[in-house]
Amino acid sequence: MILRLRVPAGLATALLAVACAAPPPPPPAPPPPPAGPRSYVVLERNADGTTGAVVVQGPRGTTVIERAGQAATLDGAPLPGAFAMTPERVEREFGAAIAARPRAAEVFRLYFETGRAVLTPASERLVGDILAEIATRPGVDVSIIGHTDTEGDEAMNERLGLERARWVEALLRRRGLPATELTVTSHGERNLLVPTPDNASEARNRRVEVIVR
Amino acid sequence: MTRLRDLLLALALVLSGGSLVHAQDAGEPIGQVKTVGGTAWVVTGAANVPAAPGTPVYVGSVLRTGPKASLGVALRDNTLLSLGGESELALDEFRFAPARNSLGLVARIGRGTLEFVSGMIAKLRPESVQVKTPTGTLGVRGTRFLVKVDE
Repeated sequence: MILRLRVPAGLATALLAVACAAPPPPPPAPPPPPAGPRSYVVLERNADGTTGAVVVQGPRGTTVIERAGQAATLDGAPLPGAFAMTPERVEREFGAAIAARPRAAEVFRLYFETGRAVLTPASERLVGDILAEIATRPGVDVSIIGHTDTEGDEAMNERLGLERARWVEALLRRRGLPATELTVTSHGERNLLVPTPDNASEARNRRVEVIVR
Repeated sequence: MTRLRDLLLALALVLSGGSLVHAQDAGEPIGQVKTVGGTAWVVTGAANVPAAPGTPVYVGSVLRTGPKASLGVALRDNTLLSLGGESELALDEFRFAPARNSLGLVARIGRGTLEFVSGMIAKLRPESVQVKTPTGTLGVRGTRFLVKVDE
């Protein structure tokens, strides 16, 4: 309901003069934050500059967000066009969660000399870096994961990957690996660095990854 | 073959069950706390552990933060989870054994704010990673995102 007041022109001018003479009004209060939805998801850009996607499935349907800063309610309703998050609002709502993000895991890839239980010179140089990285992280945990290429039998490759991982574990212990939470596993031929068909010899896939978190 | 192995594993779990409420019986850790601000807890069964860097988390653990608190966890597949204040996140499922073709990650946010940075499970099998909310379910396609639940 809007009230319309008819004010004689002369009176209006007089009121205006009075208003101008009065001290300046206090600055207006900042506008209240936009109401918007209270429960939602916001897509962010990845550390490498790419952006993935999130699929929201809810009682009102399925919605996909694919651009950084794009947001969607959690009920799966089609995107309201205006619902984009400003960096200021992201900081206000999510600053604490973002600040608590742990450091990304550091992955060290170790390679062996062909047919020998010896690290390549480049991999040998990484051993010191691994131990140094472990020393910098609070509440650190370490995974040593053996990988093979797709040549040969899958079960055999799992065993082979585990042997390589244990070999690296023994090496790190000899070099002074501190007592820390450690898991030694094998992914066999199921986590390739370089995708290949089955039964492909590929040196870059025959590796041990040491992951420091 | 894999099915049979999973079945036997499930059977073994059932037979060894009955004491799963104790943290020490919750199996292998699936990750660790890395950052804490203010007061936060890792609740696993009956055990309510104040969170500190290095505190282990398990399948079934619930991460909880107090007012103005925060908590950051790194999972064994390099997924990063971090919570703002007055938040609650349950770790319902974590399977990371690619050689056994066993992959999956399901987390459930009850309230508060979460940043999710996906790891290797999402890379190897994106459709097996989900974040459940009281309203809907989020499918993760190799990415980082923020969720707020306030209802």
